[in-house]
This record gives sequence, structure tokens and C-alpha cells, in this order.
Amino acid sequence: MSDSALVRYLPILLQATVVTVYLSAMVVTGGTVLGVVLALLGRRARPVGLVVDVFVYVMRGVPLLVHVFAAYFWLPMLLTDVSKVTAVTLAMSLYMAAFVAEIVRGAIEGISRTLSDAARSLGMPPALAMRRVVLPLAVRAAMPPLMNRMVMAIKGTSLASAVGLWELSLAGREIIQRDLAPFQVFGLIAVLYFCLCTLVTHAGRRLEARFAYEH
Amino acid sequence: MGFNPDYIVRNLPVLAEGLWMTLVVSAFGLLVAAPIGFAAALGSLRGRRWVAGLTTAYVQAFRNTPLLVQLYLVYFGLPLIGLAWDPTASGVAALGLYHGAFLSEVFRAGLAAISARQLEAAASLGMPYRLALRRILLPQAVRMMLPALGNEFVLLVKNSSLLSTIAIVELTMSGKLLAERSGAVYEVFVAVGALYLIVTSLMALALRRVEWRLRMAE
Amino acid sequence: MSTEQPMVSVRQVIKRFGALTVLDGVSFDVRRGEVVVLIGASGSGKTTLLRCINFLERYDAGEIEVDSQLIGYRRGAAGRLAPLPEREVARQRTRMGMVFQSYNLFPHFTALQNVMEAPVQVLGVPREEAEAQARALLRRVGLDDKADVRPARLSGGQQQRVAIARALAMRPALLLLDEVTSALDPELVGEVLQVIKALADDGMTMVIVTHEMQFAREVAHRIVFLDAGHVVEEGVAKQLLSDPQTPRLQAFLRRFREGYLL
Repeated sequence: MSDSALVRYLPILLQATVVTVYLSAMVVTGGTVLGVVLALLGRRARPVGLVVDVFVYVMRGVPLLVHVFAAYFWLPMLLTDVSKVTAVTLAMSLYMAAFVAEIVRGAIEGISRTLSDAARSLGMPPALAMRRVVLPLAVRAAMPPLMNRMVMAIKGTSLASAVGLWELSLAGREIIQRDLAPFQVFGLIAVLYFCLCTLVTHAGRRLEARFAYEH
Repeated sequence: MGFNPDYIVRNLPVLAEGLWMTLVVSAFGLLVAAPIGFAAALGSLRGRRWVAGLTTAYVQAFRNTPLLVQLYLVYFGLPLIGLAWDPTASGVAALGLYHGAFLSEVFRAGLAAISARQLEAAASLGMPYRLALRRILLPQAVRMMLPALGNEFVLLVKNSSLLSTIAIVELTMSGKLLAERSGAVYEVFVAVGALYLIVTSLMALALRRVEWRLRMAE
Repeated sequence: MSTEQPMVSVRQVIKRFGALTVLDGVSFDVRRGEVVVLIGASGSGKTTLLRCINFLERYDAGEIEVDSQLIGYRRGAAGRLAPLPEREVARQRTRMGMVFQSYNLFPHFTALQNVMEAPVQVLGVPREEAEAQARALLRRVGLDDKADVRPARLSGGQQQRVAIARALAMRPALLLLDEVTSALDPELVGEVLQVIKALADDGMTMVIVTHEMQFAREVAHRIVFLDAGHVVEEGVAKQLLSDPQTPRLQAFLRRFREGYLL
């Protein structure tokens, strides 16, 4: 494939990038929100805590691809009007949520007892102490691993191609089926993913710096 | 929509074969990733400027792009440069390169932590460098690497599922074929999920024992 | 002082940590406006006792009353004690303030925000009012120029003074101080002790755990000496320190005078 041919495919690839960005945004948002909820629920006593623990354990121990396949094949059987995008987004969000839950749980437990002592000694009821003191500090502490997880979620969207959802990786496969030039096509796609991931990493670091409370 | 466990039992051999392939591919993947990771770690710690730059580029590139894309690059690309590799070999290579990048970060941190303090201590005791490397650094390096390798193996097993996209019949592919053929989607994916879960759990348990043993030996 | 109900009434309190009995039937009273200092070797249970008063630690037997209110439990039928839900205990804690050895300021808030946080969030005080009060309190502890500074940029002594202001913002009837100078560099101890002395002079009821014998002598009305979970001796501060009656207290003070670590 000549370079001009590659240029011809550029619009398609950029379109596909938009799809990937959109998918990533949904998965990251869903995954983070669900993950925080799971982290808080996981601290409760049985049965809620136990259910959450089992859920997190199963989600983390099984590969994402299997979750995607399972959702793709199962969900239409369980619910009627489920689009491919919904099924895949749900599977990926739940997968990320399991990891986020672990990260946030660890961060919350890492908040020293002395700080929750201080909050309690001021007469803060447990929910208030969690909301105003523990959770804000836990999220700050959890930012680096959370950012990492977001990058992994972006990379994970490539698996949507395995069930025929059109995004950047599938677009690449389609192109080389017509005009075989894997190095150029996938090379460019790799660069596009790379830009996306490093952008998020840098944004994450700046966010971290802004919320840092030490100097 | 009844659940038919009988179906799983009957098709267990097929899934077991897939599982075996998964384990084999993952093991070879680790065999490739470990030396790459170690070399990259050493390169970034003790190599000259251009070597360190190269390893950083490698690590950054392979950590910030999806494994799937790397897999496609190897699988579709190698034949074009004259290397007619087995798809399995391509898969192992891709896994090795991807996980090598992650291992290199772990090794780098571990080696850096060990080497500085320990070499200082050894030197202050008058130990020659070669001896310090062999008696002090190496045992600690191994102690550091073992859990890291174990952890990475668990991730490798999960990522080996991606090899199903290039038609390698490991566990996920076996499951997919079975599900498409029979329509017993529930049973198949529960079985596949359970098998992965068992493998990762056993690995995690084994890892914890090894770490415990290592700590006891201190 | 009058013969009114004591501000704090500790009666036969027992506290166990597993097989270890840390408090074994401790009783003492604190009158309104009084400053009581708890002394004793480490492991004697004095910090645990303090933390039982505001129920940061749950006591297993006995009763603790603050301002005639039973803390942490409800008197059920036949005088049995039923534990209160955490929300109710939180409400009880609004009447007491605590200052900790490691200051425990909220790192993500400025000094001003630290002091304002509880009045606004717990008591529902309007923001402007809480801010004005907070600034006044910071001025009182000598830190009004540090209002917008985060704890990480403050010295230990400054952080501790903010912590005192934070506790005072809730207008507590009782202040509990747990080794508040132990984590400070020696030069910084004085500024904190000064603030506490001023509070004592203003008539604040306080229960203080400290090693600083000199300080105890200056500020305490009464001293309670704990050893192995028991109240061994208690009495008027100056008298107890200069003329200990029990052999254990004599040994303790002698060890202290000889510079042993407590």
C-alpha cells in the first residue's frame, strides 16, 4: 500500500478513533462510578459484603474477553432489546468496576485510623465522616492506580472488535483484509492508541497535582 | 433456559485441551517475557544513555498500546518480512513482548531497591564487586523476581484469551466453538469462566505460599 | 466548687482487649471547671480511659456519664445497658472535644476549613457565622495569619494549636487531651501548653493525659494516678506530686525524677 492509500484510509481510522474514544469514556465513567459504589458496599457485613466480594473475585479472575463474549451471547437471551454496544459497554464497565472497587477499598482502609478518630471525635456520624474526610482522601491516594486502570480500560476497548463492534481495531482488520499492509495500518492504529493512552496519563498526573494537599 | 451441567461434563475433554493450550502458551509467553523484562530493566538502570532511551521507548510503546493490536502486528506482519511463523509462535512472541514491558518496570524497581543499599554494604565490608553480585545481589534479585513472575503469569493466562482472535484453540476459543456449535451458551461460558478462575486462584495460592516461604527464610 | 453533679462521672469501668484487661474497675469524677490530669506508666490504661470517655473505645462494664448523660449506652429494662447506634454516639460526642497526640488534622483542608468543618457539617451552623467563629478561634490560639494554610506547611506546634481550635469550635463542655505535646519538638511544646493553660484559666473542664509533670503541676487541679488499670492514688495536684502516699506512686515519681522514660 502506498502512502497515498494510507491517507485515503485516514478518515475511516479517525472515525473509528472517535468510536473508541466514546466507548472508552463510557466504560471509564461506568467502571469508576460502579467501582466506588462496590467499594462502599463491600465494607458492609453479610450478605451484601459477601456478594460484592464474590462478584469482584469472579470478575477479576476471568479474562475480559470471556466477559465480553458472555455478555454478547447472554444478554440478548436475558433482555430483549439489547444492542451490541450496550452489552459490550456493560461487560467492560463491570470488569473495570471490580478492579476499581479493590483499589478504592484498599485506599479507604489505608486512611489512617487517626483521621477517622478525629472525625468521630468531632461528632461526625459515620456517613458524614466517610463523605467529607475518608473518601476524598482515599480517592487522592488511589489516583495513580486508578489512572493506570483507566489506561487499561482504553486498551480493553480493542476487544470489542472480537464480537464485531466497529471501533479502531476492527477498522484496522477490515482495511488489511482489503489492502494488506499490516505494518502501516496497525502501526498507525498503535500510534493512535498510544496518543490516547498517554493523553489520559498526563491528564491524570495534572489532576493528581491539582488535588495534592502536600504543598 | 435450564442449566444443563451434564453438557459440561460431556465436553470437559474439549475444554481441558483448550486449557492445556492456554497453560502452554502462557508458560512460553513467560519464558519469553522474563529475559526481555530483565534485560530491559538492566538496560534502563545501568546502560548508557541510548540504551536506557531505547528501553524506555520499548516499555512506553508496549504498555500504552493494546495487546490485540500488537498481536495483529506480529501475526499479519511477520509473513511479510519473510518469517512464516506458526500462529502459536506469533501469539507467544506477542505475549512475551507485551508482558516483558510490564515485567521490566517491576524488575527495575526491585533491582534499583536492592542494588544501591546492598552494594554499598558489601563494599563497606571489603567485598569485591563480582562476589557481591553473586552472593548478595543475585539471591535477593531472585527473591524479588519470583513473586513478580508469578503475578505476571496470572495476567498472562488471562491475556492468552486474546490468542483466540488469531484462531489458536486455547480455552476461550474452545469455549466459543462449543457455544456456537451447540447453543449451550450458559453452560459453556460458566465452565470456561470457572476454569480460568480455578487456574488463577490456584496460582494466587501457590504465589502466597512461595512469598511466605521466602519471608520465612529471611 | 459546688456540690452539683460532676461533669464527668466514671464508675467502675472495665475495658478488655481480648485476654488483656486494660481497665479494671476505674472510678473517678471531674467537676465542672476542673482540670484533672491522668498520669501513669505506658500501658497503665490512661489513654484508653480517655478514649472511653468519648466512646472512641467501647468500655465493657461500668458507666461513664458526661453532663449527666450516659455515654455509649442506653439504660434498658432492669438497668441493663444496651449499646447506642453510632449516629447517637456521634451526637453525644458533639458535647466533648478531643485533641490527639498526632494532631490528626484533615490534610485536604486548610487550617480555617479544618476548624469550620464540624460546626458547618455537623451542627448546621451557617457558613459565614462558622467562618467568623473559626477565625476568632484561630486568633485565640495565635494562628489567625495561618488560616489559609494547609497542615503540611505548618509546624507540629502550629498544627496542634489548630487542632485545639478545631475541637473548641464545637463549643464543647468538656475537653479531652491525649498526650498532646508528646509528638512535638521540645521548642514547640511551650506554645501549646500556653494555650491549654489559658483554657484552664477560662474555666474549661478538661481531662488531660500527659507526661509533662511540670505542666501537670501548673495546670491540674487534681491528679489521678493509674497503674495497671487501677486508680492507685488521686488527690489535689500539688499535694500529690510533692507528697505521694502510696509506694507505687512514689516509685513512679522517683523514676520520673531520675529521668527514666515513661
